[in-house]
Amino acid sequence: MSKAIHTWLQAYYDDELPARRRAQFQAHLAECLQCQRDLRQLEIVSQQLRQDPPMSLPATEVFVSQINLRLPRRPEQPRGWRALERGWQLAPLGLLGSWATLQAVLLVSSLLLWSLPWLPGGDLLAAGSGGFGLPADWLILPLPGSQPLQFTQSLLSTLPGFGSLSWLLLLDLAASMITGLLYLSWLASWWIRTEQQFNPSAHA
Amino acid sequence: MRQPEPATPSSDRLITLAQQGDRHAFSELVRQEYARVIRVVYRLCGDPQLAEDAAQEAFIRSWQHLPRFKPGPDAGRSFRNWVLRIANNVALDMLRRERPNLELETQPLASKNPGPERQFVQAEQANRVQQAILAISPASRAALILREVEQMSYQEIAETLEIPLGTVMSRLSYARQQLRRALASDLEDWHE
Repeated sequence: MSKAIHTWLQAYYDDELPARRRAQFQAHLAECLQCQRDLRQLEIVSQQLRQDPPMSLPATEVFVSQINLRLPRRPEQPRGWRALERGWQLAPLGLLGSWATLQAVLLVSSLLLWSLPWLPGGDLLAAGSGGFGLPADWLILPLPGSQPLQFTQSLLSTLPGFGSLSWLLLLDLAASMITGLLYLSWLASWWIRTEQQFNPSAHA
Repeated sequence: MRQPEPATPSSDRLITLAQQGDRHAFSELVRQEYARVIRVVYRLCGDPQLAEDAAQEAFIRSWQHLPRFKPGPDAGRSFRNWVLRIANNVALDMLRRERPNLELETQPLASKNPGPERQFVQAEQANRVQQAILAISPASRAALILREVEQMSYQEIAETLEIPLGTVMSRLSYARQQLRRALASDLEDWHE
């Protein structure tokens, strides 16, 4: 008997075959004596397995009282536990929302800084903000023994309010990294909790 | 397709109360499930005392982790499957640590009106079946017992044992082949 037929036979017996395949197999079964014999043997073996095993069960109340004697005292959940639990479950949404809000604020700030020269009174503001920024050449990473990338310097330094933009960029990078780390920490704690729920014996 | 057991409000309620620390509710859950758990674990390990110990340990661990348990649509069934998963892991740990008493004594089975001779024959038969089960590898044995004794679907077995669906099918196939080979001579008698 082919492996496929054998697999179908088992799935057919366990009522796990999809309808179409089931009909196909029934048509095959009507003609295959070997499969009929194997199916009958599966039924006989199942009947034996489903009988009560050769053991006597402890009395119900004896077993239950033994369990109760051994049950450890589970500390009562403090008030507000459910709220904390709910807060933990919503933490990823909170992180995402905070990150998105920060990105929106940074984007608006960047646009404002970039457009300062064209705004009324923007010249004065632009001059002031440049003073708070970093020098343009901080982005140049001189490699040992090589010349700094002057093209980058000249390109970036043409952007108005570039100094403040670089601060915003730093802030954006830092915020994104922190958010990412917090999210990874939450993922790790979620995985540990799930493992403990489904494999408590591994963490006993 | 087998119909799912209807969700009993009492199972839902019992689990909720037990999660909040109600020992009476947990005791009721134990009463409902302990026989099944012990029978399954006995089939897995073949030692009645070890089965009882493993079942106790499984219920105690389930009590400790119950606050984090999230029941599915069929609360009673999902709780049972969860406890069986714990019991399976505990039983395997115990089997690795201890040498179970696999010398099965012939025990008369509770039967409606058997004569002594019939009882002995039934007991012998049951012991041969259990020995054949124990000869199968533990991994395949677990899949077989959950399918045959607990009537779990392939998907439920996969979730309980945390293995892929394909692995469930191959382990079941292997276990059944082993069992048929071990009980080949008996199969002829039972067929008559």
